[in-house]
Amino acid sequence: MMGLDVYAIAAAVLVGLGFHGLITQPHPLKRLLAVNVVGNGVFLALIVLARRLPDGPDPIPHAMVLTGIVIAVSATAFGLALVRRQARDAEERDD
Amino acid sequence: MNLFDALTALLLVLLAWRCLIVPDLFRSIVLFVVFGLLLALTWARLDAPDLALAEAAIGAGVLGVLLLGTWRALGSPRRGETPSSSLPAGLRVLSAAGSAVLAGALAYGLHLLPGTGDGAGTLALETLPLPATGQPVTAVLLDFRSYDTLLETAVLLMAVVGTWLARSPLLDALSSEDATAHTPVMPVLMRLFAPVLLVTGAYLVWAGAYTPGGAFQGGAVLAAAGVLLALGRRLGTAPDAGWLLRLLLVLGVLVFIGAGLLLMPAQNAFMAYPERWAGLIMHLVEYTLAVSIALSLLLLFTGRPGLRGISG
Repeated sequence: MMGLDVYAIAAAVLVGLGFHGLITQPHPLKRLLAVNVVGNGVFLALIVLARRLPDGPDPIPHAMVLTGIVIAVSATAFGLALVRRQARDAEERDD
Repeated sequence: MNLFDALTALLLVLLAWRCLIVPDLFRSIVLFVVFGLLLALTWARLDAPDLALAEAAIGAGVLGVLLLGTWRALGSPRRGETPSSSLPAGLRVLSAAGSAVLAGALAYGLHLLPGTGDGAGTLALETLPLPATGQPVTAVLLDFRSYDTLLETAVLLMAVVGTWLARSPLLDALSSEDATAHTPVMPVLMRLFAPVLLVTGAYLVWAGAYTPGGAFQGGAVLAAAGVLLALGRRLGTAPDAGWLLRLLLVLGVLVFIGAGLLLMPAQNAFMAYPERWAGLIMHLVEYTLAVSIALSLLLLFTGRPGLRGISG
């Protein structure tokens, strides 16, 4: 067992920060950023675990995080499209 | 654990905190992109060069363009200062305390987890036809956990369809008020970078079989070339996708499923490849996936089904 891993602590703090941001931030774009921060914290935790395999880094968490990055970007892109649509609808209501 | 790791970890946390806390939306987005780049550096440091490439190209690059573009497309009253939280102070304290407990529990759990040697990773390293690909992460993505990768590309396609349905195309919103296309810098940038990006993207896809790289990293770089051309007005949107574009969009998924189904009689399992052909099949799947991924990411940016070239 290695000592205190700073990256493991950073991963946990990122999840906590993102979670807090998701709850308290009112702007939808900021909330998307917060969800991404949570996701990145989870990725960091997985990669920290991948290093604990004795013979070289474990390729499975690496592949899972690679999948996760692409899914996170797809979901965020869809979320951003919804944010733009919501802003446009709100503008049309104001006119 | 040395000073560099401690500083990187501290910077990651600080950037994320600033990104979520600054009221100015633009600064928040820029901080997020910097956070993504630092994360790419962290992956390289943590023996994950595949992820470093993917994070730099997809997480910081493509996502950064999407975020900044959306910021631009939002009307001026919405893009400036974001209001601070409307929650009552008590609830905010409660949320902070809950998040702190969550973070503490996670750190404790991560610290306690033992480093075992008999996980799925050892199994993968032992059983994968590594001579065929030589690259464990690519082999895991395209053979060991091919269901994951197949469904992931399907999710990417769903996101593209969802973006079309939201009917808020980013590129059109940008062109209505944007003057970047008329600066003298843009043609030079395009002439210099578009060919380099195309070659780099193609190289990354090819290299995925032997060294870090692969369909996702290469596809994202190819998509970046498309985004550059679209920003420079050489690539425009069209209301309808032609049959060729649609075919290329789903080509990766079709080839992936096709390879899995066609070999079922011989292998008695979906997506089980015979050892002799595994390398060939993985190459075929990787190249077609890269084309589909590049187009999907580009269409997530333009936001409309069709593409058309603009001669200039």
